[in-house]
Amino acid sequence: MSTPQPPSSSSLDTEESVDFFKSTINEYLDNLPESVHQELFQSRETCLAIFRLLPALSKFYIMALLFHETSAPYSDLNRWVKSNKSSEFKGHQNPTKIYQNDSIKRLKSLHILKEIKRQMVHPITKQPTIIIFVQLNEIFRQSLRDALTGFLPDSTQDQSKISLASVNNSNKGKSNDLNSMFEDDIDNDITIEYLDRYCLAKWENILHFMVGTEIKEIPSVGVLTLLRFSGLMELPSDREHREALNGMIDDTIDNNYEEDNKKSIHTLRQLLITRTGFQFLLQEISSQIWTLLIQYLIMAEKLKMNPVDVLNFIFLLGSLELGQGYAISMLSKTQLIMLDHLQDYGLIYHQKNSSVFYPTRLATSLTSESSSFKTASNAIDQEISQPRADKETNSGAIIIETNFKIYCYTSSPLQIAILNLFVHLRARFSNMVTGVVTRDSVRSALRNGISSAQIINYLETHAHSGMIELAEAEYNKKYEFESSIGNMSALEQLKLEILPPTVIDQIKLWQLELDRVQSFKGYLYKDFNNDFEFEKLLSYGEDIGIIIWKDKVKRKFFVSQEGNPQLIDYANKIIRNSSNTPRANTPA
Amino acid sequence: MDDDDESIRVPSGVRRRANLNVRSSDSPNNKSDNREAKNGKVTETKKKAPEALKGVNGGYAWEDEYRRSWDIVQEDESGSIETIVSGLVESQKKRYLKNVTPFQRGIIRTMVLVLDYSYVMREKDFRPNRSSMMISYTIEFVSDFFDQNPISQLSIVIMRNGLAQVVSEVSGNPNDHIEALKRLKRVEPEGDPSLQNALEMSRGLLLHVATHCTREILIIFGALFTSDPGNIHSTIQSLVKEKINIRVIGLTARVAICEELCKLTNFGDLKSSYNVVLNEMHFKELILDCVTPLAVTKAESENTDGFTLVKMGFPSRVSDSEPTLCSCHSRLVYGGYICPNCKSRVCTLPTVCPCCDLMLILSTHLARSYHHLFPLKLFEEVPVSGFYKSKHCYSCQVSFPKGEGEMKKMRDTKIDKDDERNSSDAGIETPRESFNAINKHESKTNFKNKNNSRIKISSRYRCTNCEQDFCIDCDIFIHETLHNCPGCESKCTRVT
Amino acid sequence: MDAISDRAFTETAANTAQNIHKVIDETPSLLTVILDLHPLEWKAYMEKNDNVEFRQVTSAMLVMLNSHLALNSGNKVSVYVANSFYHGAKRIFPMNEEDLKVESESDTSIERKSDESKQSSVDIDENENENNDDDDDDDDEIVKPKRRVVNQINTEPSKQLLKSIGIYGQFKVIDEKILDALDSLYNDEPERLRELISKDKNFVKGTMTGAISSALTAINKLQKSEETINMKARVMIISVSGDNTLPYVSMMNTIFAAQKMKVSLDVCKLGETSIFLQQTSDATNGVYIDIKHPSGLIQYLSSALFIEPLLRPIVVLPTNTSIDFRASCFVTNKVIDIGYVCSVCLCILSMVPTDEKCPTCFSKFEHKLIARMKRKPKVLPLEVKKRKIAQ
Repeated sequence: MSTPQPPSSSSLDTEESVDFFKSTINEYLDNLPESVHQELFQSRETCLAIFRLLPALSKFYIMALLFHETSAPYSDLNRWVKSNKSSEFKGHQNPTKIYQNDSIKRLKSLHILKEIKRQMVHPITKQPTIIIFVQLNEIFRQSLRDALTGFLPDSTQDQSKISLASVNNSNKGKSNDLNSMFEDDIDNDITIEYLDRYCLAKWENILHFMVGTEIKEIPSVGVLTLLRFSGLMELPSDREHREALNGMIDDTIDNNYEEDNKKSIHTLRQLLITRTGFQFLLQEISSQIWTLLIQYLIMAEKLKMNPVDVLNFIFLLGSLELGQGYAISMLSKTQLIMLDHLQDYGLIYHQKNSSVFYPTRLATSLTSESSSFKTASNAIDQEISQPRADKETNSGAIIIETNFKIYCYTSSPLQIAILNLFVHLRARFSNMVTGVVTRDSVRSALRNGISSAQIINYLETHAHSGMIELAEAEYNKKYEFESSIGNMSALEQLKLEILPPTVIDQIKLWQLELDRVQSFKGYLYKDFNNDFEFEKLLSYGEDIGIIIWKDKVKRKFFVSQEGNPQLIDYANKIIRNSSNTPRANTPA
Repeated sequence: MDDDDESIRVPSGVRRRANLNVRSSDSPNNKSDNREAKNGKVTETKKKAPEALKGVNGGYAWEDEYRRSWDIVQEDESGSIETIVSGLVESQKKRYLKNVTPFQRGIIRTMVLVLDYSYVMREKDFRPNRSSMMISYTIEFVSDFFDQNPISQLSIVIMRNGLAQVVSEVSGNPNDHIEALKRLKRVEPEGDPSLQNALEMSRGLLLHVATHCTREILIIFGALFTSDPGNIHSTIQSLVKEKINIRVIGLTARVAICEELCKLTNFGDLKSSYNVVLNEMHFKELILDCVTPLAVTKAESENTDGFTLVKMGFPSRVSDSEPTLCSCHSRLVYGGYICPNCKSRVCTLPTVCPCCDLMLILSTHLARSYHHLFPLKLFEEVPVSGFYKSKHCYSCQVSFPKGEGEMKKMRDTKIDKDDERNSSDAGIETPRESFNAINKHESKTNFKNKNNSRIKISSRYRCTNCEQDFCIDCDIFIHETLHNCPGCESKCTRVT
Repeated sequence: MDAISDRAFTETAANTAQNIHKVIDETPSLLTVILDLHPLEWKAYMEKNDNVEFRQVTSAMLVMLNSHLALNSGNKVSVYVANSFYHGAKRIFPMNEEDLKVESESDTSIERKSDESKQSSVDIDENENENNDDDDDDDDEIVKPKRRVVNQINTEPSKQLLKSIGIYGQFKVIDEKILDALDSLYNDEPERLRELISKDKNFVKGTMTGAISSALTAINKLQKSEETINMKARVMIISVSGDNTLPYVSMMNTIFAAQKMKVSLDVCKLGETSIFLQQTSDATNGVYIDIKHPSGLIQYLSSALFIEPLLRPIVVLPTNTSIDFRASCFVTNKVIDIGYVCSVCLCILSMVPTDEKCPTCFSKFEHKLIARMKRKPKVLPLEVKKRKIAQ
């Protein structure tokens, strides 16, 4: 058995995946230590928010275990999910299995799901076996139960919970009060429309600043610092510095942060957008906000703010009601500081010296999902792309044809500017722009550090509802056809093609023209003792979809960085099993 | 049999006549025959023009003035097109207004589907070509057919190389037919079609069908001729004798022999039995129309013998962990259905129990056809009035536009009672002008005049039984998909 | 190396799988709960199981609704009641605003409503407490008066509310409204029942199909409207009534409509097994569960009956695969496994009609055939049977 090699290739390629921004909040949460999690779970709002951010299958698992008093055997988790024979799938990639593994992994890394090993006596063979049971985190379970059922006062657990809460910085007490601290004497001028306009103006202002449009009001120093800190923008001096160091951005910024804090607004004004900045622009608004908030969290830690406090406040914002005023007197000191900061991003509306603050739509939709549906987050998306527009439902929607022509219903300069990043714009009408996607336009975007996947993703998320409808109809038709003739492999490969496949392929090809070499971070496994070990590890790796490259003759394979720990776990288990009892229950 | 000499001997001169038809007009959609095309007067053709081809004036569509699609959309004085939109929705509704009187229908059907597979089907006037489009629509038809007529049977025959070939035998399993059709896709259409051969073949297939079933032949005919070995008229006579219904969908033009065929086998009813497609959509509509079971004709319903009562079993599904042998195919299966009569196990339904000959069926299969038999009454449009009783749709609870009177009351304080303004205001705020009215008089009437004679709509449709009001979306959904009136179903009492 | 070289294309296969899952994760859905409120059936059910209380069912239902809302910010819920004598079938959430107005006016508690909307005042605890006291029996004790008292106390000292529990405001408002509606129902039910009994020309029929029909029309509307186009939806039926309350034809019609719309109908059956509801869930890829231990209802509702429409392809549905497919006779409404079917109208008859005419479509049946059917089976010598076949 070999030991994994250190990362064979490391690259600060522009090719960070599209999900880079989206997954950040999840990654951030995953990587928090257990003690922080425990503290976070005290707050019901936070529990609900975390619950919402999980994959659907994880949610299902949680729900199934939530009212289960005892622990359930691990095998149940597998039993609930359909086990398609992996032979039906090409290259051993069983998407359902991967999805299930992901879901369980998330739960474990959040410390929501705990494994308990118990010695049991096999009912037939009478041999002792180790069976793995799973259980929800006690605090999490209680908080979520309370949130869903509404806190039954007679249950004894609640008593203990209250005392627990009061010991623990009484986070819960605070959040509880938040809900009820409506002020009766709020002036009614602050309507939802007003808040929407307010937050949009603020947010658009930041985006405009990034694109480089002339704006009257430069965002505050805090915002600019954060933009620089997060690497979305940089000072001309940074750029020189970076070029000199040839791409070691992360370290330099980290080191220089303390000084940067003191930089005046005049210097910060000269900020220039970076490659990541361009990518940032292509994101949906909800992920943009999360990206900034995560950076804010990282920065807050450096500023010695309590991350639990900060996170709780952010999640709390997500659970507040739009258009409702909340008193600031209930907030902790950290949260008061945050109040000021978040105001700069338009997440909160707060008049100076007023005792009441209002969350805006940006804040209240923090825990909602980005989706193809016009949910709250999408609603802002639409609003942003066309502020103060009429109630046109399709504003900002893009139609792309197989001949690479693009039509976009928008009049927002921001969206046009974004489109201009990768589209050769031809004509502009009062509510629409048209253009063509050309090799040159895409190449220039690629050179700016935007990836083909991002372009495609942008087009997909902003696709006109008509295109989605058409694609779904097409998909259903194909699905029915394939299932009627029982072509399972074709069924698995079916996908929803919102954009014309020719366009997608061509954009990808254009990218391939540019980067001939692809780099991954990961680990190389080699020097296996025997074929059996190799095969076993390889097939497991393929099952969970982490194998990037393999060579069966030379008995080597390459594993992605994220998947490595899982594989090592598995490998250790094999070693243990082969040395210990041969009949242990392995989850697979 | 596919030699040309034979076809020349066709006595009725089908071929020549058909060819003439083509010459008589350049439109492939033209299905008038010579006589009709000559007396082109609107008044006279009015009677003749089939429903699908009817233009605005009641004559053939191609005799109308050409209307561009954007002509339909006209703004009212205030520049709003909202009224048009509601009108368009309204006009869609008209589609299913017909045909809801409860008929006795022949629910248990046996149908032979005859497909033209001669060289004319290689024609590319439909994309990618006629035959492949025909097959894809046929597949859709087959699944719909069994969806709505679960206890019916079907067989597919093609006309190719002057012969009739069976593609799939008479059976009640949609998958057999669909598989066969898919295999057929790989076969190239070739040779001449022979209507007579196909009809004789179908007659043979339908010969042993029980009396309580309807016997039908549906022909999709692309050619304008038929090359037959004998006298097709005698074949038609024997078909009439055996009470076989024949429907034809023509792909090019009306052919006299088909007309005769349909007339004789459908008691002179040509309108529903013989149609020529106008375009792809129309083709699909025509073929899917045939899914609805035929009404039992008067002659049949006065049938002296009376109808059959069929004994049927409703088996229950069981599932076992161990596979067992089924009594129908002797295959190992997990679970299956147990015949309530003899307790033998069968693997698929519907079927006839191999042991006791009981017809086994799922009650859900039977139930699929019920809405044909017990159609839901049409909702009535609520007359326009100032005040309406109902504020929102009963089933989806979406609010209706307010009545004129209410609107006025609300406005009264603000706006002067200038008549002109008032009416136009109402137009903006409540989409209730009927587009149909505009459409009908569109070309002739002066736009200004029309304004006064605008027909307002209430946007409410009332069930006559429970007197609840529904919106147009629900109305359409209720009648096309649900076949239940939520209002009537929701009342807990019913007068006996 | 080829696996890497055309990565842009090969990766898509894995990506699409992920994308599909992303869609599952993020697509909001609608949960419609239909609550069977047949008072007599409830009474009968509760007499059989003395440890069951109606309030348990409602609170479990509310928890389920809350959980559904917690899943996704775009999720929606709606609640219908069926089989109640007062309303028949009716949507109680979301209530049409104009209806609400009318009701609240008649309630003479407009202030209360406005207070609620402003402060979302009454918290769930108190509701639950009340239910503890009053709601549990089916003798239709009046819940309202007490309730109102509580409300009045609540409106005055708003400071008390500060103790209210930190639960999403949304949950509270919804639970509140549903409980209100149920309360008012329980007020009116006994009178209505008396009324119905006194009028002898009416007979009472089940309205479950009405509730499902209404729910389907609403789902249809929702799925077609611009904003929520193609939103996924499922319906959950909590039923206590037996099959005899279900009108057969309309039930079947709703099943097929749901099947066509790809809406799953889940059934949570209290009391005896229902054949038609089994068939319903089977045809619509739903879950049918006979609740054996009503006290654990919440566990059923949050696991087996909590499978999102988009998760259904992945998750094993906890459904019994043995299903009773028997039909009911059109005349006697009896459930039968062998019957006679009219070839014209397909109506199912449990026995051969005496007048030899179909009771639904009045077609006359062939006399000879009927005679043959009516004939009693007798044991015939083998030769006779052969002769008969020869004929």
